[in-house]
Amino acid sequence: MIEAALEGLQSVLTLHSLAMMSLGVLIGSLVGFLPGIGGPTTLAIMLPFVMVMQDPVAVIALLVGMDAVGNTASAFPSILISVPGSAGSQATILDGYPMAKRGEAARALSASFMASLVGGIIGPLILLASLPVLRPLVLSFGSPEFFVLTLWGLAMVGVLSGNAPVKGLLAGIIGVFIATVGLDMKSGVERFSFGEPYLWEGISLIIVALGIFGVPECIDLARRKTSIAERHELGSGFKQGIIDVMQNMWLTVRSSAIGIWVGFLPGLGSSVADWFAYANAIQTEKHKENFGKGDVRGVIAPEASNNSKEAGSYIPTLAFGIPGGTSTALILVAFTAVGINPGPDMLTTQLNLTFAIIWTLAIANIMAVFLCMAFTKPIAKCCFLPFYTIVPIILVFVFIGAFAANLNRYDLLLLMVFSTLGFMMRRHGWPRAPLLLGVVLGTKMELYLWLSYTRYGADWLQRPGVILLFILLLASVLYPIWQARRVGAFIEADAP
Amino acid sequence: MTWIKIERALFTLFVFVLLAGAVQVAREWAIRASIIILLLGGLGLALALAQFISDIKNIESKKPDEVLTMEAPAAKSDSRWGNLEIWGWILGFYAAIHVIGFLAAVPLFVFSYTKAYGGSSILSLILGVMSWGFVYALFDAILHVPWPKPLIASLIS
Amino acid sequence: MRFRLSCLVSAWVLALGLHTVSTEAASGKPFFEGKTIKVLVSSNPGGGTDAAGRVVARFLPKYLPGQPQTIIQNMPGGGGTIANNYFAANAKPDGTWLFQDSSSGLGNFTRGGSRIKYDPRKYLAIGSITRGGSLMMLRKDTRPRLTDPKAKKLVVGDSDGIRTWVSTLVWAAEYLGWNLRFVYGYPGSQELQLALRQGEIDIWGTSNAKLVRNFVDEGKHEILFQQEDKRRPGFPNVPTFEEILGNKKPKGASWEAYLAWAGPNEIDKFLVAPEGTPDHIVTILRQGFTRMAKDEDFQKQATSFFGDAWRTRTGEKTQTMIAEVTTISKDAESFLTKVREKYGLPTGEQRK
Repeated sequence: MIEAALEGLQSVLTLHSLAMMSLGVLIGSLVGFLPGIGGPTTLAIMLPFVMVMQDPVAVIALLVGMDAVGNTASAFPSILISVPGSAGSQATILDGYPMAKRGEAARALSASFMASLVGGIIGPLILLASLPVLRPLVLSFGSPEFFVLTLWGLAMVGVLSGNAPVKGLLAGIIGVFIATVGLDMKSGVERFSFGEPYLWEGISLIIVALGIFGVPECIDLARRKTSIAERHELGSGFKQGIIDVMQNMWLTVRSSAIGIWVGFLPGLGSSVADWFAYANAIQTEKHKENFGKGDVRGVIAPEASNNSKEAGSYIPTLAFGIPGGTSTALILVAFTAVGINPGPDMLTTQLNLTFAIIWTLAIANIMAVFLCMAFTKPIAKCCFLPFYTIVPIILVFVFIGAFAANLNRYDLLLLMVFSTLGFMMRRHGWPRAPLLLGVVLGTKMELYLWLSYTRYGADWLQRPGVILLFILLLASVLYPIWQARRVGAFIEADAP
Repeated sequence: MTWIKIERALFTLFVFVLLAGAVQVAREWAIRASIIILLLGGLGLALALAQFISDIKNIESKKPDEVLTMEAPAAKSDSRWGNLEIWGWILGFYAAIHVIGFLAAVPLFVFSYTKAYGGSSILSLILGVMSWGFVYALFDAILHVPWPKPLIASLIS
Repeated sequence: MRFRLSCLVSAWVLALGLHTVSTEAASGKPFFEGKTIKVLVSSNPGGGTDAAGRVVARFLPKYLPGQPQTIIQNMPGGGGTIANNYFAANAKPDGTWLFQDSSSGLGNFTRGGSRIKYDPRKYLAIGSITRGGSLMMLRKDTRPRLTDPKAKKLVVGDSDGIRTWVSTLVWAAEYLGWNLRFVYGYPGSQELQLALRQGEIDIWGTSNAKLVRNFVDEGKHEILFQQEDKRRPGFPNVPTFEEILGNKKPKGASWEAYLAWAGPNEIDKFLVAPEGTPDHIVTILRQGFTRMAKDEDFQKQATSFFGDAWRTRTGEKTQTMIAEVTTISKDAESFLTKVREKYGLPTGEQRK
C-alpha cells in the first residue's frame, strides 16, 4: 500500500502531470466561475482532446484537477451576484450575497476559499482512511437506507424555512412537483409533460436554480440602480475571512465530514451536500439569528462541504467503478477511453492510479484555492461597479447557463417561468431554498420508497441500517429543540 | 399600501390553483405514478388554504407589512415601476433571441442596456463585443451548437 | 459558309465543354474536400451513443474522398425524439449531415405517439456499431431457486422495464418456467450495479463486457446466458439464449413479439444520412464506413470504449434491419402487450 501511495505521488509530481493539473485547475476554475456552465458542457469541450491523449496519469491530472476545483471558484458568482456558480454553491448564496451587499465580499470570498481548502484536504484524507472498508461501506446502503437519507434531507426543509414554516413546506412541495415532470421509470407514465418530448427527461435543476435564485437578485439590483455593495468600503476584507475559518474550525471540519458522507451516495450527493451542511450549521450552532442575513458561518459550512464531496463521490467509483455523481460518471468515460479500467482493479492492480487520483484531488484543491485567493481582491471590486455594467452581463450569463442545459430554445422559456416564480416568491416572503431541496430530493425519495416496498415488503423497516439512520435523523431534528430549551432554562435560572 | 397585501394573497391563491391543477391531472395516471402527487398535493392544498386565509386576514389588519424569511429582505413594495422596467428589458432580450437569434441578441442587449443607463458609448461597445465574443467562442466555435432558427430567418426565406 | 462556321464554333464549344468536364473528372476534385460533416448525436456527451458518434467522427473522414472535417452536435432529450425530429425536419441531403442514433430512437418510433415526427425507415443507413448482445448475470447463491416454483421468486432489476434484454427473461419465465419477478424503476445502471452487488436484485443484464467481467472476477456472480446469435469470442462457455430455450422455443406470434422487443438492440448505435441523399453520396459514405471498420486505430479506440464484443454492420444490412425491427403484426403486438401485463411490466401509456 505504501509503495502504491509513493508511486502515485511520484507520478503526480512530474512536470508533465503538474502542467496538466494546472491546466485542469485553470479550466475548472473558469467553468466554476461562470454560472450555469457545468459538467456536460465542460466534458463536451474536453472529450475531443482526451480521446487523443494516451497517458492515463495525464488524463487523471487534467480531468480530476478540473473536477476538483469547480466548486471552489463557483463561490464567486454565488457570493458576488447571487447566481449559483454550480449545483454545489447554492446554499452559499443565502449568506454570501448579503455579505457582499454589506461590502464584505472579500471577507466572504476568502472565508469560502479557506473553507474550501480545508474541505478539499480533509475529503481526500477521509477517502484514504476508508480505503480498507470502502466496499463493505458502499454495500451497506440499499434502497431503504437511501430512502431514510432523503427523508433526512427533507427534514432540512423545516430548518430552512425560518419563520415561515407553512410557506416553506409549500415551497418544498412545489419543488417535488417540479421534479416529477418527465418520464417516471417505475410506471412508464409521462408525468406533466403534456406530449412535449422536451419535458420527457424532466426539468433541469440548473434552470430552476438560475431562475429562482439568479434572476430575482439581478432584478433587485437593476431596480435599486446602485452597485451590488450598498456601502462603499471593501469592509472587513480578506484577512478577516481567513480568521473566521480558524475561529470556526470545528464547524469547518464537521461540514467537510458531512460533505464526504453525503457526496458518496450515488445520484444524491452532488447537489445536496451544501444544503445538508448549511442546515446542519443552523441546527447545531449557537446565535443563529443572523443566518440568512450575512453570517459568515453560512458561507463556511457549504463551501467546506462542497469541496469534500468531490472526494466522496469517488468512493463508489474506486470501490466498484460505479460513478458517484455526474462529474465522476463523465470522468469514467474518459478513463475508459485511455484504458483505465474502473472497478475492482482500482483497489488491487491499479492502486497506484487510485493514489494518483487522491493526490491530485488534494493538490489541485490547494492550487485552486491559491489561484482564487490571488484574484479575490480584484474580482471583489466588481461589487462596486455601476449596475449598468453588471446587470446585462449577469443576464447574459444566466441565459447562457440556462441554454447550456439542453441546448434547446425551451430552456429559455423555462428560465422565464422560473424567474417569474422566483421573483414572486422573493417579493412575498416565500423561502426559496426548500423549493430547490424539493426538486433535488423529491423524486429520489419517492423512488427509494417504492423500491424498498416492492423489493422487501414491510421488512425494510427492520433493517439495522434503516433503524440507525432513523435514530440519527430524529436526533438531528430534536437536538436544536433540546438546545433551545437548555438555553432557555439557563436564562430562567439566571433571572433574578 | 394594501395592494401589496392583496398581491400577496393572490400569489397564494395562484399556488393553490397550481396544486389543484396538478392533482387533477395526476388523477388520470396509474396509482404508482400518482400517489406522491395526490398525497403531497392534498397536504399542499390544505396548507395553501390556511396560508390564503392568513393572507386575507392580514389585508385588513393594521400591522405594517413585514415579511420574515430566512433570506435577504424581500424587494421593497414601493417600486412597482422599477420592477416593470427591468422585466421589460428581460422580456425584450428573450424576444430578441427568438427574433434575431442568440448571437445577435447578446451584443445588442448588452450595448443598449449599458448605454441606456449611463454607460459611455465606448464602454457599451466594448462590453457588447466581449459578450458576443464569449458566446461565439464557447457555443459556436467549440461546441458547434445547433442554434434554433430565429424568426427573421424564416421571414427572409 | 455560315453553316460551316457555326458547325465549327459548336464543335469547339462542345469540345471545350467536354474537355472541362473530363478534366474535372480526371482531376477528380474529391467530393468532400473543404467540406464539414455535421454529426448530430441524440444524447448528451459521455454516453454510449455519444462515444460511437465521436469515434466515427474521428476516423470516418480518413476514408472519405477529400478528408472532410467533422463536428459533433449533441442534441439530447426525449430519449432521442428531439434529435430525430430535428434531423428529419432540417437535415440537408447533401452528404454533410449525418445522424448518430441508438436503438431507443427505433423503440420510440415503434411505440408511436403524436410527438413522433420522424420515420427511421426513410433514413439512409451508413453503418452501425453494435456493442454485442446483453449478458445476463445471476447471483450464484440464488441459482437453486431459479427453477423451483415453490421457492421465493428471484428478482430481476431494471431501470424502465423495457430494456431489450428483459425480453429474454420474460420468455424464459413463460417457456422455461423460471421463477422470476420484475422490479423496475432504478434510475440508472450505477444504482442497478449497486443493487446487484448488495443482493437487492438477483439478476441483471448488460452488454458492457468489462462490467460483467468485473462482477465475475469478484466471484459472487455467474453469467446465465448471452443474448446473441452465436457465442461471443470473449465468452465461449456461456450459452446463448436460443441454446437455452432449445426445443421449447416458441413460434409464430410469440417469437415475432420477442424479436420486435429484442430486435432494436441488435442494431444498437447506427449512423444515417437523411432521406433524399443522392445514391452516389450514400455509396461513398457506406464504403468509407466499411473501410473505417478495418482501421486498426479505429478498432483500438472502439475496443477501449465498447469492450471486445463490438462489431460493425454495413449500411445495407443496417437498413434492412431497421425495416425489420420497426414492423410488427397485430397478433404479435397483442401478444406482447399481454405478456408484459402478466409480469407487471409497462405496456405503453398507462392510464386507469
